Formats: sequence, C-alpha cells, structure tokens
Amino acid sequence: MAPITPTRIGSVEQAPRQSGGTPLINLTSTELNRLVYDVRSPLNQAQNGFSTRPVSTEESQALSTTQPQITKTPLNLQPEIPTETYRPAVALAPGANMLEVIFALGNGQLKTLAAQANREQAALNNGGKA
Amino acid sequence: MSEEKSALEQLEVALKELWKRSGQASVIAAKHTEFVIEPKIFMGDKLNPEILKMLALNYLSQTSHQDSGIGNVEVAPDKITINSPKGKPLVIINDQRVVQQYINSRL
Repeated sequence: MAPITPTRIGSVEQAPRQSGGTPLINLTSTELNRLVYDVRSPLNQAQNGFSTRPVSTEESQALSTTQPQITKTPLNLQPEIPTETYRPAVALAPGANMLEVIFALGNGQLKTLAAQANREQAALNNGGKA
Repeated sequence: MSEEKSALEQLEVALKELWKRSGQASVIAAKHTEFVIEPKIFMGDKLNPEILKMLALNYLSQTSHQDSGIGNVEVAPDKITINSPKGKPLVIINDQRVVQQYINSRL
C-alpha cells in the first residue's frame, strides 16, 4: 500500500512523527506488570478452557461505594401555579359527563350519536341489557 | 364480515370530521402523499380538551347570533358556564380571551 503523503491527503498536514526509539509510555513498574498480566492472563485462561476473566484486579470505585437511597420527589411542572388555583382554559364542570356535554354542545348528528353512545354505555353498565 | 361501528366509534369519526372542517387540522404534504394530523378524540374516558374547546367555541359562536340557547350560557367577568337545558353546569370556560370576545360580541 502506498504511503500516505501530503499529495494523497490533500492539504491536511501529517502529524509529526516520532523520531524512532522507544515509544514514550509513562508507566510505573506496577502498572506495567498489570498490563502484562492483563494481556497474558486471557491467553493462559483461553488455553485452559476459560474464557472469562476480571478486566482489572482493582475494584471499581463506583461499585465499592454504597449507592445512595433513591427518594421520590413530586415534580411540579408549573411551579408558579399552585395546584389548588389551577384552572384549565376549558373544562368539564364537576359532575358533568363527556357524552352529556357532546349532546348539549353538538349539532344534530353529534347529538344523535352521543345519545346512542350513552344508551350503549348504560346497557353495558347494566350487564348487557338494553 | 362486516363490522358495525359502535356509537362511540361513530362519534369519534364525526368529531374528527368536525375538527377537519373547523380548519384546525394540520396537513403534511409530501410529493405524492398528504398526511392529515388527526387529534385523539377520547383520552381514556375523557374528552380531549382541544375537542372540548372546539365544541364550546362552536356552541358560543352560534348562541351569540341566535336567541335560542342564550339562557344556557352564564357569563361572569372571569368565566363562562354552559349549562344543560335543565340548568346543570356542563362546561366552564376560564380562557379570558374567549370570555372577553364573547362579552364584546354581545354588546
């Protein structure tokens, strides 16, 4: 494969290359040993028929800390309007039935259908008897 | 097999038609297709508040021109109450814009 040159990649500049030698990895000996273990360990286990292993010997900090208890707080979406004073723009009056309202406000066809639906619901509530 | 619609389903269809005729329906027009956005009429055992508002406004627009039914509308400075012919309160309108428009139309 042809090397990537400025002519191939247009005007995008190549990143400065490292001038040979050992790549700079700042690891302590402990970290290096752990890295080697992490690479070797699955290879050894795979040979022995094991396929799972802990990713790291360190216990996750998130797991070690105790989870805070979940508390439920009621969410008020309209904090500026207290619930008891909230009045919707248009609402059914207390005790009014939806079909009753459609019957009163609707035109001829809606009136007929609302009355019929009301009778059907009454029949259903009455155990299927019309 | 013919499936006969229940009265409630027919009522739903009729209200959707009324919604379309009221000019509030939204249409998404694609190149070869049109999608009409229909409201959900019944939300559980409740009427969609937008449909209720449409019915109430429609009713009020007729009562302001006709003598019949005016006795069924109680007007207060802050709200309008629509009553049944027997006097039972059915709908309460708190929308101040609607209340003011109704009061002004009767002057």
